[in-house]
Amino acid sequence: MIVADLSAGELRRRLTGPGLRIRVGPVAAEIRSSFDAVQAGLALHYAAHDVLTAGDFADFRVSVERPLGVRRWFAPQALFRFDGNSMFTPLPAAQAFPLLEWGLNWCVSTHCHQYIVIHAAVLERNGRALLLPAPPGSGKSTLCAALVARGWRLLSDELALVELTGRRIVPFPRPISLKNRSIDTVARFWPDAAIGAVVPDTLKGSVAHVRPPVDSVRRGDEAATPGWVVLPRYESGATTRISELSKAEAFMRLVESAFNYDIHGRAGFEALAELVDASACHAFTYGGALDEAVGMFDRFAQAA
Amino acid sequence: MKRVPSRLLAHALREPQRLVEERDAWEALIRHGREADLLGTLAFRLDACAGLAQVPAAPRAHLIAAQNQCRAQQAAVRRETAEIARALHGRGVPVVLLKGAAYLLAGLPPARGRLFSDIDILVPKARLPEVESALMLAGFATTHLHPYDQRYYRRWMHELPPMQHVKRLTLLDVHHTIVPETAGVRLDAGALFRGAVPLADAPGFHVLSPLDMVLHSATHLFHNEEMTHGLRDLVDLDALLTHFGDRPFWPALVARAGELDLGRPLYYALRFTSRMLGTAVPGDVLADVERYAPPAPVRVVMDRLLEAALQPASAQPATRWARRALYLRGHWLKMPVPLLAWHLTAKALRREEPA
Amino acid sequence: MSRDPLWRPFAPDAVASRSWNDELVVYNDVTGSTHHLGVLGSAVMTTLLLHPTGIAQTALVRGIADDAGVVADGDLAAAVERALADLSELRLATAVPA
Repeated sequence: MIVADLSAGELRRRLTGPGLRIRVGPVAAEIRSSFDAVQAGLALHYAAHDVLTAGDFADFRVSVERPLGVRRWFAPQALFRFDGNSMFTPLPAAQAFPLLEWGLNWCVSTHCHQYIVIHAAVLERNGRALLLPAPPGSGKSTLCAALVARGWRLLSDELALVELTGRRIVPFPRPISLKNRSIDTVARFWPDAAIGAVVPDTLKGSVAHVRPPVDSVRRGDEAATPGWVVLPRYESGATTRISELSKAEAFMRLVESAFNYDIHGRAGFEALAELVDASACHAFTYGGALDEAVGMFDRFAQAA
Repeated sequence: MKRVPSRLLAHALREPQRLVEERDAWEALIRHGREADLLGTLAFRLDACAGLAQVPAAPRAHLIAAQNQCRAQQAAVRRETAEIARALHGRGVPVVLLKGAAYLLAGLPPARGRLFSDIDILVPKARLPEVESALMLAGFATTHLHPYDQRYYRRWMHELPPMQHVKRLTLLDVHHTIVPETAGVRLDAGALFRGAVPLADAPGFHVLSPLDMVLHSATHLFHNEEMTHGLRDLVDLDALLTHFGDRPFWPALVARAGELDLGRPLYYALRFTSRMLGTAVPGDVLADVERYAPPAPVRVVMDRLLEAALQPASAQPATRWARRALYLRGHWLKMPVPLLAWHLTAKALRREEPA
Repeated sequence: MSRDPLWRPFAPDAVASRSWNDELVVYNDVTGSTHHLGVLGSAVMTTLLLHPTGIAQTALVRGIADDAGVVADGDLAAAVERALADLSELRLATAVPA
């Protein structure tokens, strides 16, 4: 059974009661929330995700709720809870769905130490993974959405889960998060994209999410082997170009982008070295010509 | 095999070989274990009885994740103690490692699977200024910079304000005794140093004698204001008592508690480890420490408070309330009442100050 | 201090390394840190790892010069000395006491 099989009433009943229990790649979450926006976001973006059956194990129990207190009425807020504990300050209620998404990222990046968790977008073509480790502002999410629009399988837009052998990357398919201008850019480039509500005034500006393709969700248990590590850089008006990147530099970028590299010590070093060994590493500059950018990556995939 | 959720973790730690198959139990077990910082210990105990491979894959991933974390922290603690040794090298200051770092460097059972937070060391009070400046030269900076907090720690507590290394961000607590001076307990810190045992593998470092190590663990748990690690500390105690507890040990433990004026914490320690974790404390020893028990009405209240507080918060709603009550008690034990009121008011007022 | 000190890796078993195009990345278990060494640093470290019991500084400089096909002049020697000092600070290299 998938989320889309639940009626709106049933979805609501679970979210406000025993919890909506869903599978996202290797992770299973139990989600509770009384916010309409969260229900709408889940119904849209997680439509194709499997609902857990009785007997399945949920890794994380999370909720996005209204905190108790006087503020409830004049400045409503949303509070993220993990295992019943709230460790984060509440956000304005309008940001309830982005808060859930952010919270799920946090759960995985802080706890899934059976993997090396890298802050990167990961896509797949012909069984091989394209890793885009990049700091905010590099256009990684726009590029990620564009590639998905043109048929690349989405493994994740934020978190690459690398097995400790360094030889497989595990999918964690969730909505792609976009900010500010990128929302319009993607809407124009990908007219069929299912883009959810735009939430203004977050810390990052306006935020919206794009539903992951059904195929990416259905293949959420299909790992990919290393293919390419590409460091993207967005420069307005620049020509789209690929340039050389030393493997040592690509390696260090992965080390710096990993949330839990320190936990793995020597094993982490060896795993990322394996991954880089098996990948073609490049730097990539583009100025917004998304068709050109996607074309370049498609050529990579064919040459492989 | 249905168990009351709040007892689940304690039972799993005692008898890891009796695996629970149902979904509900594993989910709750992982959740409680994670919250109590005991996932690593549970993983280790399952490994030790060859049970880890039989855990279903999904919960097993969390146990493996905890093992990875534990391994990394152990390496970090070893590195950090080496750095502390370098910082204090050549000054002839006796340094006693406490708690987690002590268990690890002395190769004691509580270290297995343990998740560490900070490093605690004990130095003579007279050498504190010199130790503090040597550590600062080595990159440890004092935290809690508000002058009120600084005074609180230095004058009323038994430690320097927590220190944090500026680059490595590791946390270090420097103590000069194991019970605050304001607590009305007359403990001679010199006795602790006289009994301390040098570590062959870590020159310059000592650990407390086995008797004092157990008493410190008991005191830390039952005198302390934060009970967030209550169950973990109880598990440490159980491991220490099981490891050291031979025939001569028990009467010596009771006698030493008397010497150091730590009878009450020992009473609670033996009572709660035997009740909650099934620690094999001989019956005559339990009878012997009854003389350190509080008056009956206090005992009933404390029993309930401690039992509730020692469970992970998500196990029962009573726990948070119990912790808050114990937080107050922890503070109360540390300071005379008028001082406590002032301290708590000052602390509460400071939260209202603009950032 | 000897005028031609003997150098060796600080803790050879604690080091994991990988080389791509003469650039070395190194993991040092002593500190838990990971480093990307420049070309000269990589050459020095690689040589040290091949001589776990020690190599004289002058021999080290000569070896690097030979590999690179250059003259072992004062500039190279000074650069190697700086690299050794850096590696020493990172606890990757140590001068063997006389």
